[in-house]
Amino acid sequence: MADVRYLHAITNGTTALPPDLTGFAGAPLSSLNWHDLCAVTSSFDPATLHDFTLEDVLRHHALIEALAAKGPVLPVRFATVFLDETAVRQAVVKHYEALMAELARLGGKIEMGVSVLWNQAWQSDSDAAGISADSVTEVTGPGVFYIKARMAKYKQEALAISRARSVARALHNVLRPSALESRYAILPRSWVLLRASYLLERSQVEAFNRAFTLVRDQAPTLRMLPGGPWPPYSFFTQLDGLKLGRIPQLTTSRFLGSDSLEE
Amino acid sequence: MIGDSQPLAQHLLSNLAALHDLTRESLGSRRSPAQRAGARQSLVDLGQGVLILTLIESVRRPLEEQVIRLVESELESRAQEQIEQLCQRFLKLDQKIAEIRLIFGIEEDDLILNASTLEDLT
Repeated sequence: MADVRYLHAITNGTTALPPDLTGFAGAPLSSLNWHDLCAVTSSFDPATLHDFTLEDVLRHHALIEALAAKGPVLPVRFATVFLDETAVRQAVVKHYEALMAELARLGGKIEMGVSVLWNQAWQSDSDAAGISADSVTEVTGPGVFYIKARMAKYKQEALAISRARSVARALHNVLRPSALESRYAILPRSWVLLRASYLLERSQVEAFNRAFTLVRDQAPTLRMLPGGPWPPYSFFTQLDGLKLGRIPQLTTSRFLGSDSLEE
Repeated sequence: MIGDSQPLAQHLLSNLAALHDLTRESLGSRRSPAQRAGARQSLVDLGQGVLILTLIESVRRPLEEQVIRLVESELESRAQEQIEQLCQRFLKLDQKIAEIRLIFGIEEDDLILNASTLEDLT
């Protein structure tokens, strides 16, 4: 049976593996070196495939943080696996020049994030736009009822996308000057209107936080959650692997719980 | 017949038939319920599930939007029965997609079909 490999990070090859940390599900870490790059992997048993836990996410992040403290690192997305070590090696060899360039661009940089949560009060906007459940009552049968409900869903999504783009521009005007690059994900989850990511030099964190406080105070109706600093996950062009699973429900629940406390 | 929208309806039905075939093929690859339950044991299966669902969803939406326009334009006509039948095909497709998602353990949010990423806005 193939030794499926979980890929954690790419380093410059001189960074020592943290002796006190392990890979996925406690598996020992191993290095796969190619010229000036090192792929940090651990063994992954497909038979244990399950809905990942919060502990899995935190372990992944802790390892990357530990590597980042020792030297430049490219953070690979959580739950990226390759069918075997040969597949990892092929990916590193194939993308070697690009990975070296990414390491030079992102190594030592950090990422800050802002999540804007869906505001229940905006539901009234949807109702005002005539896309509430009321608009699907005058139908002839289950088929038309279904398609009318889909129409309401699409209209609501269009409204959310429009609002998200507007919020993205507002954030951009205030936060972008403190950052090197930015990314904006529109509706990354059904309950998240917008997720903004900013690439920063470590020295820029304080200025960024001041700008975030400013923009949050200027828009009290928006529910904004800051995130970071953490390694620049959103800015690393990921390797071709097999992306598994989803954000753990435990994480989702906690996130929503924090949000509800702000009500 | 569905008035002037008949060619569109025929077009939609033929596309829908292809989608049904695609979903049937993905389900048919498991020979038994036990094997279906074990679908997530295979990394390749899971990857295929995401790929198939992403493909289906990316085709379904524009088709449904066309049907919505058809419904809006023909709801008052005598073609209501044909429209209802057409819409029920999409309802069945929705149920089939939900079944595939369940088998592969994939949630709608996992596909992130409605998300778009904006690069630097400057």
